[in-house]
Amino acid sequence: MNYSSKCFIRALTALLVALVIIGVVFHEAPLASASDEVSSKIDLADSMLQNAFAGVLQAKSSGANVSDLMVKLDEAGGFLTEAKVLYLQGNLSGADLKADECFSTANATVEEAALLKSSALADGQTSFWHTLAFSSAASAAFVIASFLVWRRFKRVYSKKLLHMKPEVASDAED
Amino acid sequence: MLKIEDYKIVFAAACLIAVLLLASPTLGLIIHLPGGDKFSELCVLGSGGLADDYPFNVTADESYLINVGVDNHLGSSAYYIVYVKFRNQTEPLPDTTTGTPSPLSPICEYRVFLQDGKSWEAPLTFSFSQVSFSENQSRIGSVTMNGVTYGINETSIWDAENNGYYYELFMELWIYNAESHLFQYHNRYVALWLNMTA
Repeated sequence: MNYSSKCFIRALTALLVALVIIGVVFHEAPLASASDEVSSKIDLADSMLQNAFAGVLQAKSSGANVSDLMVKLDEAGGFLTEAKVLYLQGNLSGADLKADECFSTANATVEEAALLKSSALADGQTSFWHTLAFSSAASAAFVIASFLVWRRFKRVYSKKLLHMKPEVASDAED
Repeated sequence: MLKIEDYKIVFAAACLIAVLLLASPTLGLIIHLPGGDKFSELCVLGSGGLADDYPFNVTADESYLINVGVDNHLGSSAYYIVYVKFRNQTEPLPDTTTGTPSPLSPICEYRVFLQDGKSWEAPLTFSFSQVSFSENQSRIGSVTMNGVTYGINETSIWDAENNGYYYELFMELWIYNAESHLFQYHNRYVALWLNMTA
């Protein structure tokens, strides 16, 4: 084998090695980036679910009935769990789909919780003022009525006392 | 006959009680009395949903059913995670004194949203595969939980005192803290001993 043939074989080998390396790098890179993308989608869905729960807690503390929202949270939580399982199994498209479903369900819950909260706050305010007005009016009416009853009772009591005849209950001791 | 001052006291007391009763709806909105004990419950039940009929002697490729339950008595809604973990006799359990969870990675998890006073229960089916025995140790290659297979590669040394290869399936209860935006170990766990047999 002459010198030029050796050089040619070396160059060919180097080219093949380079092609293999490039192939491996470019084949793995999209997979890695897809995996990262799904992982960050799952994280995003997770934090949206936490936001949704915080929103539901606020709606509940405002006096709203959150039973339906809790069902939605459960549903979103199920999607998140499924997304994590599928991700671990390497089913990136399935995990991506479930993360999306979790995100959209949680997002809808956040919006619904905010609406419920504002309507519950308005209802709560109205109910509070109604209750306060009723209690105050009833208490005031009762106090005035009691005062009038007391005055009448006092008058009757005094009249009764004046009409009483003194009697000797027992002999006084010496 | 009572004196007028005595009548006055009785009348004033009756009036005060009546006014308090009339004002109670408003007072109820303003004054919030502290509730009872606040706590969460985590339980593991047998296949019939009762605290018996737990699997103990297990074999490879055989399916077992238990039920996991959570009760919320915290006075408000809660977001829980139940982590299902698996260990051999030498690996650490959660520490109830310090309130720290087991450092082992969870195999699977349940996310639970519960309103105050509500309960949740879910089935957990599990089976073991790639089980092998050699000399004085057993090895479990994978566990299937609710239809999903996880590689665990867990080994257990022969326990001469209790005659078996013991593993423990345990569940930890974690709770979401809305103030810190973090999940915290809720210092509750339940565990089930399993003896791997050939």
